Amino acid sequence: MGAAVISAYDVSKSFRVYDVGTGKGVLGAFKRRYYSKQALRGVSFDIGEGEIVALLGENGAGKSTLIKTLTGIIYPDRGTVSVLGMEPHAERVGLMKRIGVVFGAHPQLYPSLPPIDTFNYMRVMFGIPQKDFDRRLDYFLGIMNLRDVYRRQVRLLSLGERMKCNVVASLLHMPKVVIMDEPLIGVDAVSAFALRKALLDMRERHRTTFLISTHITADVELLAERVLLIDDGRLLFNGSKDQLKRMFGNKKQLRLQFGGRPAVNLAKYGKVLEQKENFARIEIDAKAEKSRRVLGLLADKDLLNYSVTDPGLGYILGKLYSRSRRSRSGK
Amino acid sequence: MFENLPKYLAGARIGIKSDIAYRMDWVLFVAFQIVSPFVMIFVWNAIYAHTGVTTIGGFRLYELYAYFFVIGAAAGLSSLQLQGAMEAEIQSGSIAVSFTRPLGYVAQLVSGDLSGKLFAMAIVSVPILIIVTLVLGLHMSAALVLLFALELAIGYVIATLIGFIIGSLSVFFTDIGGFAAVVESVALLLGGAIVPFTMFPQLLVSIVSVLPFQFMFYVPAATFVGAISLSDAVGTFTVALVWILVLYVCAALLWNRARRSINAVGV
Repeated sequence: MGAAVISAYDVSKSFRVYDVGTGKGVLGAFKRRYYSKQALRGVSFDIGEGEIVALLGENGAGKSTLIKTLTGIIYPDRGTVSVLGMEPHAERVGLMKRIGVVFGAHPQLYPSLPPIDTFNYMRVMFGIPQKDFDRRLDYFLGIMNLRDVYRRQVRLLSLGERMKCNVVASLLHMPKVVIMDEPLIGVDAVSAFALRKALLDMRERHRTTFLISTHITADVELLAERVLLIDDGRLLFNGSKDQLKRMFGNKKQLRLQFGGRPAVNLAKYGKVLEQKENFARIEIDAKAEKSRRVLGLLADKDLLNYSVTDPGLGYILGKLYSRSRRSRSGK
Repeated sequence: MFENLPKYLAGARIGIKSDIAYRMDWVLFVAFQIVSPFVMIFVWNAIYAHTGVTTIGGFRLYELYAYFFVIGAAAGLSSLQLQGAMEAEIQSGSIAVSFTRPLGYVAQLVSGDLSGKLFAMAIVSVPILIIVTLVLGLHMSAALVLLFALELAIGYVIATLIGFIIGSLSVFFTDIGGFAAVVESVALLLGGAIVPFTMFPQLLVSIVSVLPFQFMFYVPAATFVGAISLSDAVGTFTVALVWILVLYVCAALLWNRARRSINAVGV
């Protein structure tokens, strides 16, 4: 890891929001109850050059607020933010020359024009030499399977196609730092895989740093080494993907298909999660996977089929969120 | 400033391309600028015929014809539009995208607005004004054309500042369509877009002549048709400059606050 290219120290931000009155009559819409929503509560972290970090959290946890703070759109109430040594909201224009930002929810493409017009606009906006532009565009269009669509009006493209073009528009100037807020909404598995490969390649060649907020666990599994997990405006976890997995013990799941009702007592091997007529799912200690005892079970003559799987990231996140929710409500 | 010129030009190009992407709509928009003065012309024909006078408020009927065509052209530049663009971006949260460009937000906003208007001006308003001048036999001089262009520019600056102020309010009020409609109506009426304000009662004339709206419509239109002399027109510049200064300070103070309050929350 190199020097920190993105850092946040004790960042807090609150918004004034309101609920609208709900009643049977339309006049209920005039009633408002204002309150303050604390979106970020003292978030601190550093991201080094060349790191790929996933920003995770439930809906409304504060991910987008954090990203908007890092990109200079929002002024933090308290704390300091720095990207490439610049204070984003104070030095926004200078910073934007050197970073790439993708908002999945806000496509930057002109809807009435084909994506190529937006790409060309980016070429001038970021002063990309024509030769580099042509080469990079050709590369991205190829790997993302966009050659047939980039001259078609954006309005007529599918959601995934628009998203892919949106990402391409933010990468053409080869930014040093890329910050993305849910960039792959609606992108098919093949293109998403190709894009992840392209991002890894960018990191390999240019030591590009990536911070990606996502709900797609494959983004985390295949791309990120480190995870920042935000929950209710706080940084709940900051560490490697493997550390995250170990937080709930290093467990694996064993799925077993028997010829008939199993004769062995499965509880002996681990925690039985599910047991039906001739099927069972048990959780075992990862270290015990190759133990004599477990191997003995797998050699059982009644066992027709089995598989061993890591607990999915979704499972771990679910556990983390519910634990945090319990501690917040004081139970 | 000039290092960013290619960026503004590229922004203008893509903005105009986007504007004319739907050709039929754009043609009708152009047609509107030709048709709408005729509505006023019919009304004033009826008034002059009914009253039997040759001049009202210093205008002869054919001067009013020209007046309303110039109003149409001036409205192309000086109608309040900036607030609409700001409101849309702030409401939808797409202002975040503008902030990811390596250009100042206000510069992006104004250059986008101005380029579209100048384009329409060049291919619609200028030909219309040339035809009107020739058909009605108006006297033109280089000095008059220059003064007219300067007045249009002043009108644009004032309209843009007012639009920007209303647009900034969108950060606090979200939906500012109502504000804009009120200010727009007042600007059209007191600016002389519906009736040249020299036809108003004396008291109202003296109030209106210290307000900024006259520069958006009346001053350029009256100059063009020769209803105010060159020296009188130049005399209005002091009022215009004071207003530009006042509006600029208000806009800067307000935006400084609004900018910090942009949170694009939830969008």
